[in-house]
Amino acid sequence: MSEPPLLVIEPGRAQKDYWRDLWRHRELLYFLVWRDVLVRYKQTTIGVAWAVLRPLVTMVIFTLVFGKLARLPSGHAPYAIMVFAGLLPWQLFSAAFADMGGSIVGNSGLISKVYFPRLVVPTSVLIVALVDFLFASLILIGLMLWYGYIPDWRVATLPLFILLGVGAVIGPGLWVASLMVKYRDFRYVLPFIVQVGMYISPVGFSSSVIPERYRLLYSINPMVGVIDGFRWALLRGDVGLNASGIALSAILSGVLLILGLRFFRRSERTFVDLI
Amino acid sequence: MDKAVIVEGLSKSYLISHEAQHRPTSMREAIAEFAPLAWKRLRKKNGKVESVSPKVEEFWALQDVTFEVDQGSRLGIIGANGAGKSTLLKILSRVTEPSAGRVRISGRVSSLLEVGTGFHPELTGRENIFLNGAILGMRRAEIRQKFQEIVDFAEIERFLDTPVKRYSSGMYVRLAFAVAAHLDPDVLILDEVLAVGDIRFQQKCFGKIREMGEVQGRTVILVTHSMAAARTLCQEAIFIESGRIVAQGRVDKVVEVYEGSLAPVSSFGRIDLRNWKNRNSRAVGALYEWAEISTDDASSADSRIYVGSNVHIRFGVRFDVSRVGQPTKLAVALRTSDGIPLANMVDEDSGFFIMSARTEEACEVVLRDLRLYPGIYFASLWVGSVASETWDCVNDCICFEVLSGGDLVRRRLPREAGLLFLTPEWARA
Repeated sequence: MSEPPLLVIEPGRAQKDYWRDLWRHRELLYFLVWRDVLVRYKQTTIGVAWAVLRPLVTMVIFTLVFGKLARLPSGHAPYAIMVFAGLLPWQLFSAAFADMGGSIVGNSGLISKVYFPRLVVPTSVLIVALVDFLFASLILIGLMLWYGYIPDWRVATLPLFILLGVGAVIGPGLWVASLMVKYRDFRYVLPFIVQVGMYISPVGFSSSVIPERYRLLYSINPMVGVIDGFRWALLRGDVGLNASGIALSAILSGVLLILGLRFFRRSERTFVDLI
Repeated sequence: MDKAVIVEGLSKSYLISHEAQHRPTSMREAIAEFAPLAWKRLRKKNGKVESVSPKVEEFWALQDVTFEVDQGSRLGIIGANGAGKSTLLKILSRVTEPSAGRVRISGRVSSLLEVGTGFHPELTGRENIFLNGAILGMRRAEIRQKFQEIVDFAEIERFLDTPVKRYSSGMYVRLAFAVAAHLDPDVLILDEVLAVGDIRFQQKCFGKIREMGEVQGRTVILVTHSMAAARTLCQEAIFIESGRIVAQGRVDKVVEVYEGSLAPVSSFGRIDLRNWKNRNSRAVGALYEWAEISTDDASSADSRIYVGSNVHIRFGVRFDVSRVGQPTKLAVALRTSDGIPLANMVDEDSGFFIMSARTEEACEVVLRDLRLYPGIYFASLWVGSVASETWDCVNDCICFEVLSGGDLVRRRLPREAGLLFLTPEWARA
């Protein structure tokens, strides 16, 4: 018989074995994702419609307002596709950000009764947002077929930009998730942040409308690089590759990720005592 | 014998602030508190500010707790509410970290601090078995392998594909416990999870826990409020009071120490019900204003309630002017501390009714020769129309303990043996 595992509990101990513990709880991660996806798509009509309808309606409005009324440029691509190529990463970011932010408080029942590395909860929510993202991508494919607009080889780089978008959301998401435990009214601030974020990101319009000399300053918003990257990959390079913006976005996301993770790790020890 | 669990000098402290409203729990408060501080700091350039933080005190939920559990033995943790039992279990199950001390557990640990943690009401029984199993630390393959056993134990075969939100509370609890009962740990940690379900299922769970220890050689640590459960399930016990161990050793000895330490919990004297939270009431109708319980037993000068005492329950109701002159119905309900309904006493059954001519009424209910087994009981008060429309219902407003003793009792009366102490006529037939 093999030696039984020895578990030692003492102050600060959980932090030492953290990453190994996280790996050990990968099945829990799988089940939490499974639960959320299942619950969302259980009432199939509303579930799928929700993931599809939201971006579709937003796209139509943006196309009408910015494309038809304001007559902003979209290069050679149809305005609807240009908008949607920006809307997709933005929706991924905003959904993941809002859901990660509320995830710890939302699962307080679980957290106060069962041990697992708390990082599992926001991670599962992030994956659920990715699933929604995949469903919403189907609309883009539909739109492209409708307009007969087929992307070229650049589309192969898309996973890279998806990764960049995910990287951009993890830091802020974890940060807000920890803050929300302590300051519950943050939940009222969150939708506001998301809303403002949408207007300062090039979602409804192409970032080419921003004057050249402010472009880099504008790229301090990490989503600018992500959205520009999406458009470059999907619109046959119609929108030039904003390389410096993407690099800036990657660096900022990386810094935010490390800071967010550290903040989360520092706060998570007291989650149970505060919840 | 090998030790499964070794706990050394375990302590846990919380910081509590005396002026609760001073601890910022919202951003608005945090900013409002921080702003003047920052302002002061700005003005005094050297940055030294006399502390404006509220009085914060360290509260020790656990202090220097040390004990050991042999492999395959079952340990009960007993003590009053707030003594630190749950904190101890939370540390053992790693939900929260200790402030000092060390625990060593050999083997796989599973803990069940609550029945049905993570159950999702929208998901079916089948889906929840997988979800809950994963939350409790089972692997998918393991759950699949034990699936049929779990379903059989829970007796919910027919409802396997029904969302659990449609389950009765009994079914829900059975399913939840069934999942937990099929965990495969070396050390199992349980928090008061047995005070649920019907008696028959409770017995089944008791059997399962005993089997885990005796047949499968698992170590069990459980918190319980039921001394009967502690006696039947455990060999050893520790009694915790204010975060410290008061007694430890054989379960019978420890339970005796614990029971000896209990002051009667009965709330004698008038209870103000005007701000009682746990009630169902209508805005217009009637409201209970106060209640009191007493005994006229001559043999108990200190007004304790024993088996066979006469118990008086008095209460005051205020009727809305619109109800004056209307026929009303009054009722007093009794339940055990485990929530088992015992009696619902309605005034008309005793040939009593009031058609109030006043807005204030006071009534008395006398329970002569109350033959309840020793234990803690709760009384609720109800008032409504003769058509049984509720005007006010004050839940569990009176708490009383029936003590073992008095003129009738000549032996130990374990609660699991019965609820009613009856002394019928015995004769040779």
